[in-house]
Amino acid sequence: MTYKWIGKKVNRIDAPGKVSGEAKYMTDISFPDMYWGKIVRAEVAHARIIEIDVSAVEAYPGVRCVVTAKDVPGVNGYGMAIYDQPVFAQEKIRFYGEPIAGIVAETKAIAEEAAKQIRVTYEELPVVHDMLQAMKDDAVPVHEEGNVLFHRHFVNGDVAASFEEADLIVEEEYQTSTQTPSYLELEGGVGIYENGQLTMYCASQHPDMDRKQLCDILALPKEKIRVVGYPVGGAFGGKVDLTVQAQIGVMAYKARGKVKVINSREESFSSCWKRHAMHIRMKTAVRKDGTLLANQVTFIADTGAYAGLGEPVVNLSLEHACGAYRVPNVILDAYAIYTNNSISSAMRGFGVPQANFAMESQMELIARKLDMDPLDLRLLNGIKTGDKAILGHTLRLAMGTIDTLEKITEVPLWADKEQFKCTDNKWKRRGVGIATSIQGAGLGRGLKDDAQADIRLLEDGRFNLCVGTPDLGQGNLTAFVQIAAEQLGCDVACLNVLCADTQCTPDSGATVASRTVYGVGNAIVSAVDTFKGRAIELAAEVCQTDSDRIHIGPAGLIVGDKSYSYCEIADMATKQGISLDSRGTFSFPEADIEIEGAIGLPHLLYSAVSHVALVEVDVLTGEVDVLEVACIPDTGRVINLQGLEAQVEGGTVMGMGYATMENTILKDGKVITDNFNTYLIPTALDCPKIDTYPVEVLEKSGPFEAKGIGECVGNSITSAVINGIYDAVGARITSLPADMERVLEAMEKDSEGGESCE
Amino acid sequence: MSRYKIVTPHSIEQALESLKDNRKMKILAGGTDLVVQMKEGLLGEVDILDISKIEELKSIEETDNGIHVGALCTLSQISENAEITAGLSCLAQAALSVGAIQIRNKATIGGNIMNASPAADTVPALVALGAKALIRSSSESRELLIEEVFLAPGRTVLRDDELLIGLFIPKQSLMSTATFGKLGRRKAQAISVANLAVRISLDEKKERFIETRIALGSVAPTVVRIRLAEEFLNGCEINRKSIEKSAEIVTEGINPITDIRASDTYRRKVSRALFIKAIYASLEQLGVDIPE
Repeated sequence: MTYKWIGKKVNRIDAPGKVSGEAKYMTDISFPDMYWGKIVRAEVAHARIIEIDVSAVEAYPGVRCVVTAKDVPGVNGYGMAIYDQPVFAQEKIRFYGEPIAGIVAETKAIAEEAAKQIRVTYEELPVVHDMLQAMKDDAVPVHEEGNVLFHRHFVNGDVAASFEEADLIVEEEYQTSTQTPSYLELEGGVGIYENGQLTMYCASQHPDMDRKQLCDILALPKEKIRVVGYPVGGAFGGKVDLTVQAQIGVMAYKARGKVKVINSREESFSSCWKRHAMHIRMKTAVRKDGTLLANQVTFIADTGAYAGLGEPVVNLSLEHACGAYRVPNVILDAYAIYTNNSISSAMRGFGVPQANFAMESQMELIARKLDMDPLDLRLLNGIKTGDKAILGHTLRLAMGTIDTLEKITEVPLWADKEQFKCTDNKWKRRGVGIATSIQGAGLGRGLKDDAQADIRLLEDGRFNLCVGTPDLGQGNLTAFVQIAAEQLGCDVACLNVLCADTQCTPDSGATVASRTVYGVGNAIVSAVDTFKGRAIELAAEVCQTDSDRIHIGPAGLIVGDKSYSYCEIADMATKQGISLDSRGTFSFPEADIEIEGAIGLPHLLYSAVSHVALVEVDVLTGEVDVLEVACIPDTGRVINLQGLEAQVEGGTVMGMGYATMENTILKDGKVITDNFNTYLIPTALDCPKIDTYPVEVLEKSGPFEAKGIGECVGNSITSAVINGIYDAVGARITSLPADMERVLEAMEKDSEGGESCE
Repeated sequence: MSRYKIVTPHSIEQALESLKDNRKMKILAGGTDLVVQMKEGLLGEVDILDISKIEELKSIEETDNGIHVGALCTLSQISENAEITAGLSCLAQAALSVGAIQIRNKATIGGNIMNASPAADTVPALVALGAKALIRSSSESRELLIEEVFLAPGRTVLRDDELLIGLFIPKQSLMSTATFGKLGRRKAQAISVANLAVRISLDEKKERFIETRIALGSVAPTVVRIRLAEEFLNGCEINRKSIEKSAEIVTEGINPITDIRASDTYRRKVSRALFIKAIYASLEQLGVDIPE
């Protein structure tokens, strides 16, 4: 099968606007008659509120209104899983930066000045900042119900017997850091409440879910709220829940007008959703031939002040506790713990990067102890289609782990690794590390994961492709256009995309969980098929001919020896008084078993990625330099090669930053790395050369046999870098990030001394 | 952002007159530090003297006995200047290690000095090169060694009516070389965890150190010159043992703190590492093999 658009390097449809600066992000939107809003935030991490005195602010010249918890018309609570987070704090403050009030004023400067006039009286409470302490029975409670938000225990097989049988048991503890998503676009936008109708312009990963939550907060019916959420200047999971929409909504509601809010970067750092810091204990049993027998794993995750998606995140850690390997016997525990730290929730990888770091570190230790090649060990245990996964479900869809691992042998970085490891710098040692990862796509069993897409023929013969899932920057809209054009047989230029506007796009689900190319892509194929059927039916009636004499051409229909352009077809439909608008729907397939008490587990569709990293370590300072990376993604059929390469590069750099430098540091609950001068992410100069070697393990149920890739590309790189450090200097890093100070410490502790090529 | 009164002189004399009349002025050169402080409202009640239009402060001139660098020379200008990259590459390297291109295009060497950050990258290089600060007020001129300029983080010995107008860097002797080293937590846009510059001169036989200067930044309240290590090395035979011993003296001569970038212990370790690397690199530059 040869394709016209699938697999081709089609330019991003959003590129011209973004490159020229013409694209208007939600925070670029302004109206001449709008107010500016300012969110007043807590400056302590844990306190009981005694009084909020806003009288001085209400009298402040230029202030339109002030809102607090008592101005919320509906439920003063939100959250994707449970509504445990107040829109404005009411009785308690649970994190530094928590919204307490909102000020609506004529200018931004007035709003900011007036904010200083608010008087909050509170009784400070001890700050709960350590998740391990917070778990204890006598810990100060962050929430009345106690600090254990969630605990899931899971057993499969006979772990005790496996530990008896094992030739080797490797036991280790790991600690991961709190990663901030660091999207460039700050949270913000404009809310308009006029004539009983709310319009919310605010970047979003799921406008339909935002609307549902806003309906509850503002006590308005769905028809009265419109949410526009695209374009998005980066999200990485951080915009899947409400960011500032709830506060803007209440401010606009009370002001009866237009209100614009943009967080400062410091506000963003204290209030945005981050990646869970986890404490992980892992005990792995192995036979001397390298066969994995059992794994006993405990994840303890710091979810911060409110639940966010803490429960599903640790559930996903649990599902991916053994990485990409067959392990027949497991005991797994996963906890999500409340603290007064900033909130962790969804972030690209969703609990998998932490689990992957621990498991791939175990694999490296096992390979060393058994004196096995680390690649052979992974190939021996790598999971395949038809295997039982650790949760007991059968992996009946395409699994690419073995393919990505086998490809490693062809990658120069691995094949010629001894040459790559040579350096004539006497202060440096080089190492090559590998790691592999899988990532479940979609929301998982028990969470209805449906996607809808519309295709609408326009008068001029072009099409509107309407999807609710925004492009967060990863290029899924371009993939959608390629899928639609291929299925329609038309040129990609004939398609406009309408996206993420509840007024005119269907609910396609959220742009999360590596689900959109597969799920929404399938819905698009279905919409196009419905459209084609209807168009043929219409032409058959108008032309008084049999529908099997009608074929779809590149720019319209061919009826016998006559062809009708889509412009003519649109005209025909208008004259006949019928609509050719077609909706496609798709539901994610689910695994064959459910895991009791763990909604969203397990998954059925998985993408797979392996990484090889060439790492250089300075033996005197511990500086780590990632020089070159090879990434081998399996995403099923590649829809857009340059899009895939971009995802690989972005994910690789993000996962590398997680490995070597990114660290949100809190002191008494306050984020002290609250801007990019202290929260360090890699710069262009820190980026390695990255090569992408896609393997296409085709998945029949996907659109043109494609799967998803957005998250998996950021997982295994972290461990590949850590394993590269191990190879270079013999230092084992068990806490992220492996910054220079930690690496030097580890080298002093357990260095075997790297071999020099001199 | 607060509102400020801004005075924009076009000559050194005009600037000095303004400083004489108004003792509450903050001096704006490239603005890469000051504008951030202005935005954050950290300056209090001050007026701004914007010296960025004074053309006579923007040149680099070679003289018989050294190089004059105007206070308004940007870090980009310094890192690209032919005389500096040829004869004073240590300073060019230091300038090139600051921030990123956008910052270096605006930031000036005078600003890097007068901001008096203990982590300022050009300062150790200037100290190692024996540079002098040229200071003027409306009534007098004076010259100070760079290391004599600083009192504490953010504080210098300059009086309110004084302006740093430039630097004089003396000609370096033939058998000498200077090396700059910096450890940041990433490769660009990184404030130094520690930085260092070492200038060594050797005797004619290339067997002994004779004139050494060692300066470190980000490891004490101001950039520090380690005179004890210099004195130890001067006259010392070149060998691994003398280098190791001087490295020990260097780590004893600093007074690092623990902050968000690194711990004091780590700063001691990397100060030693930067020193040893710089000495090895300098000796290699001068074509000396290090005997055991």
